[in-house]
Amino acid sequence: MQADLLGYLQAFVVNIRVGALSLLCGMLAGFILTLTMRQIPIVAKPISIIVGLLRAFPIYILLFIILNLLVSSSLLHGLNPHVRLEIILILTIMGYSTPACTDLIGSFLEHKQKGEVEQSWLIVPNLFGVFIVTLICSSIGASIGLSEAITYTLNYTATLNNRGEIILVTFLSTLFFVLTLLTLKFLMQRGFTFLMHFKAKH
Amino acid sequence: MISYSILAKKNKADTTVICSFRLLLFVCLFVFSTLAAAQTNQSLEPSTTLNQLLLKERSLGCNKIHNRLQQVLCEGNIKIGVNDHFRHFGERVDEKLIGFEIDLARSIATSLGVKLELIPVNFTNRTQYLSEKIIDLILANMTHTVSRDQFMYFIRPHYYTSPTTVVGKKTFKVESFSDLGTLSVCVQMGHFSNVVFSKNQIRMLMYETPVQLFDALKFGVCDFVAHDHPIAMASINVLDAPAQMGSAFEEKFSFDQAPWGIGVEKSAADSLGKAVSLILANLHSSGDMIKFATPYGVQTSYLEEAKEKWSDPSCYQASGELNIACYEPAYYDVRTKSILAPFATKTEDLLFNTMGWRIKFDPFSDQQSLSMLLEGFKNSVILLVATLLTSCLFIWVFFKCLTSEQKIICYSSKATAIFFLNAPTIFLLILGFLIASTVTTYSGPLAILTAAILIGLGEGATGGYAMYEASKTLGKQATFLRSLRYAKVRVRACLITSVQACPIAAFIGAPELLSVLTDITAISGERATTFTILALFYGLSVHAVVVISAKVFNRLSDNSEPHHAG
Repeated sequence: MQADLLGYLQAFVVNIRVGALSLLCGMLAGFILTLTMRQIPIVAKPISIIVGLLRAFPIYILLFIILNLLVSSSLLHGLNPHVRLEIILILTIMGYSTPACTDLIGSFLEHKQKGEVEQSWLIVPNLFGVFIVTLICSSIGASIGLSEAITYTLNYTATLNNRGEIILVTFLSTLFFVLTLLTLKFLMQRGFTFLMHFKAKH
Repeated sequence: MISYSILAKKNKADTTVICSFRLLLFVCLFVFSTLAAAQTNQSLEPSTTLNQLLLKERSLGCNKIHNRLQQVLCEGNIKIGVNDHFRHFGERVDEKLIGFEIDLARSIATSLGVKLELIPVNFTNRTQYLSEKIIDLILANMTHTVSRDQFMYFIRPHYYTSPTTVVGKKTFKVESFSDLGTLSVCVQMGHFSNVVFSKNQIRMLMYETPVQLFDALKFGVCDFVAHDHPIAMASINVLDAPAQMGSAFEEKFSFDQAPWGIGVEKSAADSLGKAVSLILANLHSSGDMIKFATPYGVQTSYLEEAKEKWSDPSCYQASGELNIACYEPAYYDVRTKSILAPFATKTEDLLFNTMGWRIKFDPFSDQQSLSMLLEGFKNSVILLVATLLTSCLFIWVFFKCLTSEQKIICYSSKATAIFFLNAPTIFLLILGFLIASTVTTYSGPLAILTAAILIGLGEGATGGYAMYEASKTLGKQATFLRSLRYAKVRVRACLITSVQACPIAAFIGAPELLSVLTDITAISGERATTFTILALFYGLSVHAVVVISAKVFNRLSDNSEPHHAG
């Protein structure tokens, strides 16, 4: 039981890692795209079209397209299959995080230019919101065999005989996901409020 | 009188002796001729017939090449396409190719009296290499199927045979397809047995080579792997397999015994094909095939049966040709051409000739694939429409419950909405799958319905909660329409997200487009066409919902404006 719980937590760490790296890569890509759009106005239109297409495209389909493009490519050869799948998943979720971060960084820079400091700081909770979505999105890794929380749950339930037990374990696993996200959201909200109060005092 | 009679008696005795001698001579001649005839039949062994064939081809000289065998003999070199990643059959060890198939290739070259050139091939390029004459033979774990008979000639006798085996973790209780449920099976793209997984609605994860496949199994990326029995078992059971593989994995079940054949161009069937056929019969009957297999730990049960069969004189004709009655049939997988096949072929040729692109339109040219594709389209449209409807329904339900004056309904719906807001869609679908398969027999339509309801619930909760928050801001003025108008951006986003989430239904076995196209890709091995169709379909679907929802919400705002102003 203890080993199973530990295994589940280790699998959940994969979700957090993928979610965080997807956000960071999305932020980097978003920052580069925003700066490019501001510095080179000619490319602003094509970039905004690409960002729009990425925003509209279903992540799950993008996952399979990237998987099929990269699984046979020499780019990821020699890597551990887990690392390979994590990279594929991060690149896929970037399909969501890049447009989202491009918008957020764009509005952050605008507010900053206008001198609206408090509004520009809203980028922090908004980026956290993006992280929550990337964390939820990381669960689609189960469909390509990435050893994350859902895969772990599925593998664990495959060893059980009782259908009721299987449903209960799956529900508890989902509940864990939900409670973790709620806790993270709560902590972020409190942290941001504290930060704002701290800034106002000093 | 007496002397006369004695003389007469003596003459009669001489005549009898002469007659008897003649009879004996005739009998001896008959026996000798019969034995000679029998001797003639026995002397024409495969090796003798092969030598005669090679002598005949060599006598033609090299000025004018008539056939492939003559070409090989004149060049003094045979190019055989082999695997370089099939454990024990053809693999690269210290830059050297070794394995059962490699030894067989070497023996073929020796029997023909030519040098051997081994060219590594894989599933995707081997047929192309053969048609472009880069190789003379394919000896690379190729299953002889009826459909492949259209593209090349399979030399018989077959050199090996094997069922497809599903290997998985020992902890899983899986004995048949029905036990797999939502668990996925890793397969090699284009493997002939993938069609069986598709028919049983098993989710497949595709890999290009067996090395990738078994690496994925070793690192826990795949829980189940399906491949030819000797290759699957070699990865987990033989002495030199990693210890952790043998202790963690086992054979779950096997199905569909299929023969492995050496492929040659159809035009070379009567020349090179015939020569290699005689070589194979000879290698089987002499037991050399077993000698090639044993050092690598390749199972020899089939080879022992083949030895017995090809040692039987009834498998040879008097002329030295092989008796076709001893041949094993090809694996039956006939696929009929669709009415679009001629157009697909023309387009393929046009693209190749004008742009140099080698793109296959298999989903359109094959009747079964086309039927699956059309079914997938139909199911996807149903799923999209059903998901949009359930999303709208649950947005309304959640809004009504959340704004209810009864606290129990309000709080319980709030908790439910928060749960659905934060739960990954894939988890919700699994829960739905488990509950649905408990209540009733699980089927494709049920999977679509389950997915539509669960995605609708998830997005309905988000939309309903957004409208509930809007109603709180609006205060006493809040009505359903006003709240909807106030939260229209978020509600519209929910509807778009619900469409984007539809392909996840493939995870629980809904036969929608992603699921169908994955199956078609696994069977045909063609990815460019299938994933382009997929990207276009879902891209356009999302775009359609974006445009339609924008119009609907704009109209809603326009219609509500006078009322709002009033």
